[in-house]
Parts: sequence; C-alpha cells; structure tokens
Amino acid sequence: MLELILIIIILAFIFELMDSAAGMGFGTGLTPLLLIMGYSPLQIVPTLLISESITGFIDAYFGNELKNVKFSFKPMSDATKLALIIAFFGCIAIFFSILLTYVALELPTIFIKQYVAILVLGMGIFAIFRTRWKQKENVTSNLKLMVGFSVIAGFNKGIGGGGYGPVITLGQIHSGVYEKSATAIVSFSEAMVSVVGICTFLLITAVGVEVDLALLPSIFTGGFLAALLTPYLVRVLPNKMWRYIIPIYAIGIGIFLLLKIFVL
Amino acid sequence: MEWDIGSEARELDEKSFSERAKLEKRSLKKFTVAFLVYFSVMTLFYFLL
Repeated sequence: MLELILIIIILAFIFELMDSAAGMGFGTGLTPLLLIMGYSPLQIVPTLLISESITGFIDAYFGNELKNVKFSFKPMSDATKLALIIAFFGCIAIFFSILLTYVALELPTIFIKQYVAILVLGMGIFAIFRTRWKQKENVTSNLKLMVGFSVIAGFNKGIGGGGYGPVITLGQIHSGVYEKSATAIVSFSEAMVSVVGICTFLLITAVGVEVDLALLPSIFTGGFLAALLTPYLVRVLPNKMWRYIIPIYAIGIGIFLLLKIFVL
Repeated sequence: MEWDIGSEARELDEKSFSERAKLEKRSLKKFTVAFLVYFSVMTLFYFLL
C-alpha cells in the first residue's frame, strides 16, 4: 500500500526547495524533524539518500537546461569537472564516516559538532561581508581553493560532523564560482555521493539490517516537485538575491546546529 | 589554475526579468517528461514497497 503523508510531503518540499536553491539543509533540517516526529534513523537515512540522489540529478539536469550552469561530458565542462572532484571527496568521506561509525573509533562528538557549527556560521558571516566588499564580480574560479574546501567538507562529513553542503556551497562562492551555478554543482555532486550511500545501505541490508522505506513516496513527492521548481526560481530571480539568501540560510543552519548541541 | 564556471548564467542575468522567465518549448517538453518520470517512479514504489 502506497502511503502519502501530507505533512511529510510539505516538509520535504520546503527543505528540498532550500537545498536546491541554497545548496544545503535537506538532511540537516529534515532529519531532526523526522526524529522528533518519532521516525527511526533506519527509516530516515536511506529514504533521504534515495530521494536526494534522484532529486539531485533532476535539479542538476534542469539547472543545465535552464542555463544556470553548463554540464557536459564531451567535452567535459569545468562545472562537470568540479562536480566530479567534489563528489570524489564526498565518496571518500562517506567511506570514512562508515568506518568511524562501525569500527567504533571513539571521537569527542560534541567538539566535532561544535567545530562544524562554528565553521558553517563563520563561513556564512564571511560570505555576507564578502558580498559587501566585492564590488566587481570574479569571472574565473580558483580550482586549488575549491579542492581545499572539498577536502575540508569531506573531512567534516567523514568525522561525522555534517555540514557538507554549506562548506561546499560557500567554499565554491569563496573560490569565485557564480552563486547560481554553485548550487547546481552541489546538487549534482550530492546526487553522486548519495548513490554511494545507497550502495552502502544495500550492503548493510545484505548482512541483515532491516531498512524501512515507508516514508519514501512522501519524501520523494515533496522533493521531486521542489527539484523541478527550484532551477526555474534560480533562473528567474537575480543572482544578487542568491548572494544574500545563501549565506543567510547558512548562518541559520550554523545557529540551528549550535542550538541542537547546547539547547535541544 | 583558473576555471570559467557560470558564464551562461551571468549572461542570462543581464537580460530582463521577462526574458529570464520565458521558457523555450524544448524545456516545457522536458518538464512534461519529468512528470511522466515521477508517475513511473511512484508506480514502481507502489509495486515494490
């Protein structure tokens, strides 16, 4: 029986809309809400991974179609190369996340989460000031800097601190990537990383861990509709707006992460 | 090493709002196909879940 839950569809739509538009927040925002609603991690995580992989590819495809970014393989465009580099570090990060989680390497979780929250908050604040300082737009982007940010984001995810999307998106912006293109590149790379995550869950299922995909139709419905709408919104709204929306949303996520550590 | 990413989006941003809002027929067709993909995936979920 295919069950569609309206509140889950609405939540998935809102968080996917912001994730596709600002390059961050789907997992960070939706996971704690679903946990509060009484769903277990084994109901949430594989569902989010499957949904994010499909919606990520949809978002990237329509981002390309609506000229927010140019993805091509023959010849390979710079945006495609960057998405692959980011995905590569993301996949390594997923691998280490699982190693650290299942090999039970003890890490001071609270310090890791604090470090990631402060990093995201700091990058968001810096991005706001950068927007005010920089009058002239950069036409080119700095690859070395972007690889550095990919490593930092991968490291954060690898040690279990999250914050992959904010660091990658803000890292691209700091490296000179146009905001509208940066979010589409994140969606493409996160879709590839999510596929690796799904494969990992398939392996876990093979050794007897049961995953529950009852939430998938609802999350997929909300996410899919948002992934279709967002590339059009990104195209129509001027880049100036995204230049403020992205860091402000990142600051919000940073504050939310800190609240989660100290208050919730 | 420096890359050029987002030049098409920059060019599009210089155009008026109405030009940015206008969709080509080809894009509209692709949106229609995307909805068909959605219904196909939901049908697949119906049988699998």
